[in-house]
Amino acid sequence: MAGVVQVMQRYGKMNPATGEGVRLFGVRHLSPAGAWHVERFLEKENPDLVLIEGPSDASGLIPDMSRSNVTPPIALLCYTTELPARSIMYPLASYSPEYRAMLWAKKHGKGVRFFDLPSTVKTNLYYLEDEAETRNRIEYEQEQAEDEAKLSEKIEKWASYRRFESKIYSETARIGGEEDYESYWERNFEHNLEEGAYQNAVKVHSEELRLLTDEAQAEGQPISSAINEVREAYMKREVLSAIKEGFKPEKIVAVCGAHHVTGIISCEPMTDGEFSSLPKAEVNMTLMPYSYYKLSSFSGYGAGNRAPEYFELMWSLMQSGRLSALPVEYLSRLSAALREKHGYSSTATVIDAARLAKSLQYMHDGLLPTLGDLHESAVAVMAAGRLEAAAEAFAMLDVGTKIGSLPEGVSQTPIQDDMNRSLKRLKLERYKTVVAQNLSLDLRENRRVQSEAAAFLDLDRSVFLQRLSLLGIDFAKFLPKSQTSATWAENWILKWTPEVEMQVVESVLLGNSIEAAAGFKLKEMLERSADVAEVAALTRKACECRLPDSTFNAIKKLQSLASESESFTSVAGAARELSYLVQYGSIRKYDTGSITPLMSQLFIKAALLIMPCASVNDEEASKMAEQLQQLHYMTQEMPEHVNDELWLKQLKDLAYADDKNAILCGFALSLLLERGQAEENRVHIELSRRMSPGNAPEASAGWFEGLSKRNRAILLSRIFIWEQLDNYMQSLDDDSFKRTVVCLRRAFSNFSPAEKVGICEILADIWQVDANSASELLTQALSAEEDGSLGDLNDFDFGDF
Amino acid sequence: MPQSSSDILRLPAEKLYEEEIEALKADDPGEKPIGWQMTPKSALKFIVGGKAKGMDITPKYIGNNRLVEMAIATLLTDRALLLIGEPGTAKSWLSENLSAAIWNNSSKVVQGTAGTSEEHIRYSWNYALLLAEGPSDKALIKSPVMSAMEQGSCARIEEISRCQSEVQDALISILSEKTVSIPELAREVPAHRGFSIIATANTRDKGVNDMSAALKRRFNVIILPSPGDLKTEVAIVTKRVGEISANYQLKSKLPEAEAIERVVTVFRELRMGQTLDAKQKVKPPANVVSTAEAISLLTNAMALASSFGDGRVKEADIAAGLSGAIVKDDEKDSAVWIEYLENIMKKKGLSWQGLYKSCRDMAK
Repeated sequence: MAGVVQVMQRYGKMNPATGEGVRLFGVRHLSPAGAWHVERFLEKENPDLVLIEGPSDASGLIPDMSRSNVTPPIALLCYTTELPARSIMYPLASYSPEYRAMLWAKKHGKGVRFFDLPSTVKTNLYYLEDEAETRNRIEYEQEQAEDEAKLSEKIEKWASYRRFESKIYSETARIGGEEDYESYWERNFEHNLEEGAYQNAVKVHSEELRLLTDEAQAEGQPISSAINEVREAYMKREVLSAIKEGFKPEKIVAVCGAHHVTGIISCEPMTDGEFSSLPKAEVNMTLMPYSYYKLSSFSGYGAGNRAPEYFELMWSLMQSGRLSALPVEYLSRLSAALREKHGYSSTATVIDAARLAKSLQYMHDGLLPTLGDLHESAVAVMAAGRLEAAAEAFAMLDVGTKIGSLPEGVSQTPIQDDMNRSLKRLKLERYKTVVAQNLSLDLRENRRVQSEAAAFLDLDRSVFLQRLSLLGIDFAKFLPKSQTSATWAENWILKWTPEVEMQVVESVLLGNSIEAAAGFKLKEMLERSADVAEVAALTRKACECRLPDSTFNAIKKLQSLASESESFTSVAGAARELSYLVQYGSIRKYDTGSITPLMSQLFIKAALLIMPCASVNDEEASKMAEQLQQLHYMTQEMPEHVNDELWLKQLKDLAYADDKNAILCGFALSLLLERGQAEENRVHIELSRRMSPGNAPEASAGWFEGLSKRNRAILLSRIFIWEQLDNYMQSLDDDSFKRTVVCLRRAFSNFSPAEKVGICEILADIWQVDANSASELLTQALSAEEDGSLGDLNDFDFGDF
Repeated sequence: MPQSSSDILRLPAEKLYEEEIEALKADDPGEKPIGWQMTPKSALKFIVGGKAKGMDITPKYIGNNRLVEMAIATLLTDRALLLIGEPGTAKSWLSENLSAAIWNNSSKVVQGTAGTSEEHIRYSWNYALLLAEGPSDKALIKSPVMSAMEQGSCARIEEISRCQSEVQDALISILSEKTVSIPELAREVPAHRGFSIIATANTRDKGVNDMSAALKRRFNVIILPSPGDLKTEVAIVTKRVGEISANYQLKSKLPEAEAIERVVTVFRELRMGQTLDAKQKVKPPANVVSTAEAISLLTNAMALASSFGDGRVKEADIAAGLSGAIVKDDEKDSAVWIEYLENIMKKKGLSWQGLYKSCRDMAK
């Protein structure tokens, strides 16, 4: 308590010139007891003006926030008009002390305004703070990776402050006999409804915390510390100017974070000169619906609000004067949730769990069990000790799925207007319901209608929905095509939820319209990716979203990357992506003018990379074979745009090369056979060369695997291939035979039964036995003995193969 | 002949920590629940450690204090407490110390086995007297549970899941009605305030019976985890090894801290199926390698060293115990152990080489 005395001496009196008599009420944001006590305090003081911590330039939105048809949680979002947008968010729940203060002022017709730094300044300052933190963290990780013992002075100070800060909270909890700081806070501050209890306890607590951390923070986080001072000086200035306006100091109540109370009392107010010297940005602001889920995961401002649904329950019980029923209420709801999930959960266990929670509370000298007490009691009594049985129900009851709502027209960002206009223009308004509906699009021109807009309505819709999905707005879900041939058809499922509304509002940070936001998002994605195939996929996305600027940038980036990339799979993948664009361009009205040459260029590049990249292991070879196949499709689908001559030459080089992966060589030959580009006698030579005992058995079998990957009809029509395979197998010694069988088994594993019968017939012919009996013999189930010897093969040791 | 307590092989907790209990009782301002000898807070302090009247209270259970708090809070209500966990997670130890702290009596124990019958839970008769005089109070033999009910004290049931289900079921009526009726004497024995039951059950062992849902519902269940990290487990092992060696008057010195840490490391890695740095997978053996086994292994090593060696625990002493603890009877365990030796322990650096060589010699 020595700390408290010191604080009292330092800050006990407010200098008359600096606003003595103003009632400061320190709260924790999002605190039910804070809300309850603020209401009582306002009743008692009956001020003429209520000041609330929040950006002063957003005061104009307070009437909207306190409308009667607003359902919290909602949030105030301020964002810079310039991109990339910097933003700050103020979430409010029904139990936010700030929100209750607004409602009180409205009900009693008193003045109410925000008195923290205007968002024009704050957005920039917060950005600086974030940036400094991120930079420090990166530097810390780098320095630590380099040499653990030697951190630079600045980073060392930063890191030690971070450790110190988290230790203070964990130590506070430990000394208080609690598991964590959240339980400590709840036990000590949220349960006491006695008049004045909250205000005093919170004040003392934050004063002590500040006394402990202020200096250390100035050292370790100079920027955050300075921002704090700036904010407090500004708040002081606002308090004083309210007094100058004629409000009596004792008729002003200021509700702010408890952390700031002593700061505001002791600091000098900000001067006009200081204020005008602060950097300012142009800022827009809006209200938006918010969700408990987001609130629970929102760090910083919402700290400690891991259980908004639980806090709301606490708040509503406080209001009805039944706070002591909280444990039973919570556990009964839990029981209902468990019953729904597991089928049964008895009322008796609710009583027993409540009693256990009570005795935990008793051991901590508390007024009520905390959420932690309730959880652990419920696990021990209602879930037989198994947390996993109750975890889902906890999540439901603690966080919940509640989403706030605002009356029509209150939340108005340009992007919402744009969204609504687009929905109207594209005749999608009837899909704006919570019921999921299918939408099938025909992208072709509708020739039976007059106007161009109507003729391409479905295509425009597709573009719009693609943009939404790029932005992560879950209004429409794309269904993969079931029928590959219908290139002009698309299927979507449309569903409007409150989350969609939030996602739309948040997209305003990327741009003022859906199109602009999508363009910005794509630009950022482009800047981050460095892989040719990835950029090609983005190019395709840009076209699908009809974003000409992005398409242009993507193509430019693709060009520069294409010349640098040395990876066959990436370049071939990129070529294939672009080929889709070229193919479907006419239906979707893409301008393929600049894409086609780029695709041809990528195709050539890929073809040239075949040989340098073909010395790989079998796993990579399978991936590469897949890309070779895709390139093969391109030569078949659009022969006019690819250099077929080069392609065939490369295939031949690969097919007849000895130093490349055997699977790829075999696969190249199969493609040549299919194209009719392999001379029969060359195939004969190649076959006997590959299938001669001089090769490693695995290489021979791998080659055959590659050869058989594609068109099997071609293989089955060439009897000499099977003769050669038969001769080869007969020539092998026992060990090589086993090794080859293992590899060949893999090669034949994906042959169809009909194909296998075909092979049997060929082999029967070669061996001069009856075809039917051979096929019967080969397709019948294995005997136990044969099965056993195959099992042995599975354990076959390949040594260093 | 009166026995001095030093001759007793193993003292019950209330005797072993008599001074600590007295100190706690003397420094206990709060209100005590009926039947308790100290307040819940002091009981907590007795288990997790602290200070009372200038005396250091040694921690009896190292790990999660919150679990102990939950256990004590359960005993405050009229519900019974069930401690569940893998072998060697200090279930019985916690149960003994809780009853010592709260009721100063940890000796009302029913050992659950396949042969435990309903009489062990309720009551039985002195048949000679029963035949001679008919049913009478004199002929009645009370079970530990019944005498705990009469005294408002605590009965402990060890390894409840080893009892057959009909025996387990005998507890159901006791736990819900809080009486035992004796139809032969036409009367009931009601439980006095303060009565409680602490049961322990094992989850991993073979040969256990499932507990019925009806019985489980009457218990508050607390699952005791394996020690969370190396440091905790080393602390537990060191403490227990020290206590046991004092009890059994082993003349050898305590094993070095590094030796204990090595044994615990081996156990943890085998239990978790990966190395402590999580960089390598380890094949776990079929049987459970518990903290309790690490403790008995080290005390064995001390016994070996004091009886046959120079009183200092050597790597060979530990190696003998290690392979014994890990390779039970299973051929597979032996393969797992050798694989661990060659792939993991061999590569652990110079300080491990002595132990590795001893283990390898032993494994051959």
